[in-house]
Amino acid sequence: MKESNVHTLLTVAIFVILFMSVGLTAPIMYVSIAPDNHFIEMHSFEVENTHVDADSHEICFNRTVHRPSNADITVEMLMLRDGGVIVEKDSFEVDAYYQRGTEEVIVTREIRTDNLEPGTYKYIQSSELQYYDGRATKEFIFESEKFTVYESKEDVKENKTAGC
Amino acid sequence: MVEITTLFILASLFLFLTGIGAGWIFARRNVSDKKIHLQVIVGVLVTIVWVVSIAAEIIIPTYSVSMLVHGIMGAVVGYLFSDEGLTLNIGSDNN
Repeated sequence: MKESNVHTLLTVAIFVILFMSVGLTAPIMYVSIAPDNHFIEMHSFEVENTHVDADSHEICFNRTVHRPSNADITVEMLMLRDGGVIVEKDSFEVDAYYQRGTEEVIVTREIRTDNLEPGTYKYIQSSELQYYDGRATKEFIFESEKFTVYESKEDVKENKTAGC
Repeated sequence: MVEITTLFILASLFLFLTGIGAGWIFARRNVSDKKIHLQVIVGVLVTIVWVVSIAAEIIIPTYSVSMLVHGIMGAVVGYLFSDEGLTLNIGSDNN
């Protein structure tokens, strides 16, 4: 093989590696650098007020998904008492949260905490989404508006301010 | 109203035929001293198309470019940017 052919082969090999590397890393770089609202834009994250004996309440997540993710999405939800104390930790699959669209997603969530005390609480929703056939992952954390857990059902009716 | 897929197919076909036509005209006009310029022009064009394909992959959620396509485009550009065409002389001593 001529020397010039070896040079040509080397040039081709270098360009192939360069193009493949850039092609592979460019979308991953975009996912890591681009702001969260390029992927999902949260408009509101409100939670229905409830009372200590309630079994469930509604969580309303109003968002616009600009880039859907095909992977199974596990949402980790933390229920925090005012002051940052974790009262309940739960994880569940809610594909609708991250499917393309602009509509509000309302989920009725079971309250599994025994002896829930009256007070002000909030939820923190955390999920890890995959993009570009799983080549890139991005974590999203959304914090809900504060909601109140009252002593009784009557108190909830009297102070019905927050909610969906 | 033309469907978006039909529009893309027609646009691709148009660009493909334009490319063939332009290549044919350039090849007929080609003089040996201008060959290197033609190679560089084609190399730059393929590079631009490659950059556009990466941008499209980032912008359009449903569009993805295979690694094989990146590799092929890299090979084409690498070949065009090398000093001369690739000639494998197997079993002969052609200097």
